[in-house]
Amino acid sequence: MKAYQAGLAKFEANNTQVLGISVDSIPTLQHWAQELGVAFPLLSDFVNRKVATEYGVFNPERGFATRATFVVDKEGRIQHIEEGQTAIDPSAADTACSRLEHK
Amino acid sequence: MKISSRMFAGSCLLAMSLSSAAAATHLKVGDMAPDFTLPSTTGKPIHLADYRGKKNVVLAFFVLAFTGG
Repeated sequence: MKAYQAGLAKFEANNTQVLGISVDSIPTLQHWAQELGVAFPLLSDFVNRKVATEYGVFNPERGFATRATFVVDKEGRIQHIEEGQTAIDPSAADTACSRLEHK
Repeated sequence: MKISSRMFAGSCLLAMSLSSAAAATHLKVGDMAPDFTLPSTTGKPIHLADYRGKKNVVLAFFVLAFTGG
């Protein structure tokens, strides 16, 4: 999430909202956001892991989501998917957003 | 004994990372993003469809707070 915060201005320049999602509770997320200085919203999928499940990133054996990034365009369509360790680096998502905004 | 338990832990970690790689999303580029409303750190719930027609959205799923990435 640190890397996303560092790249936040770029995303905003491309008319893009960044949302972080995990299965943590809101108090945990608030504490962490403060510690990291994250300015974008963090969302809590704590209650039933429904969103992580619907996006196919919930790992029931481990009880939490895997690292994944989805870029959604203004029509609500998925334009870019990254899973695993590479999703930590926001540059590919940033390129996808830039492409969407300048097409 | 110490080494072998370490090796065992190592192979467990490897197995975990392999199994998480196998748990890939069923969603594809071009699919509609499943809509949701979730509580957020802004104090207000966030509804994905509210950005429709206004902004692109990056959904960054992360494993747990207080972890890297």
